[in-house]
Amino acid sequence: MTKKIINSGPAKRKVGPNFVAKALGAESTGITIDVKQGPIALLTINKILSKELKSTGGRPRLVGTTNNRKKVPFYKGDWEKLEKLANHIKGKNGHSVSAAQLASIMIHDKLTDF
Amino acid sequence: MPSHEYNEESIIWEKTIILYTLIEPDLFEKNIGTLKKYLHTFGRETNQGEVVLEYDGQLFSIIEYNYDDK
Repeated sequence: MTKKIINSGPAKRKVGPNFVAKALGAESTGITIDVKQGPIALLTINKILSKELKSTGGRPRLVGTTNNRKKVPFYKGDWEKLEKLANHIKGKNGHSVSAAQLASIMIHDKLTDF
Repeated sequence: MPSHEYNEESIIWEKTIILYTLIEPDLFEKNIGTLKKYLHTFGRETNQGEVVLEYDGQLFSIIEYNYDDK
């Protein structure tokens, strides 16, 4: 059984975001997130949803996807993360996206690397 | 981020590289000008409409590239 290593030394002080922004000549966009997910990745997903999540009267669909559903096994905890992310996106931006649709977007995006 | 030449309807797909590193606070503060130089030079020379950075869970934007070596 592996042992967990705990660092009990003093924590390093944090360099505040306001100092960093001022030093770099940057401005805050006001975008912060509650989940541990990069804002840039979320911006990308939101842009895709704005363009490709369309409703023709019923439940919104991703443009370009088929009705042919496949079974995909998930690692433990991943489906819950997708559901949490979908709820976060719905709350922040109003996109009514499902966990399955988010998975579809992420898989499609990653497959373009191959 | 796409150049200002593209409109809001365009989705620009780019390959990105992410580097993760630990920082020492005092050294980071002392040398932050080097990071500013890199970001502003990157934005100006690659004609970026905007350079964004994520820091401590917040998103920041650089629009004016005003780093001056002098």
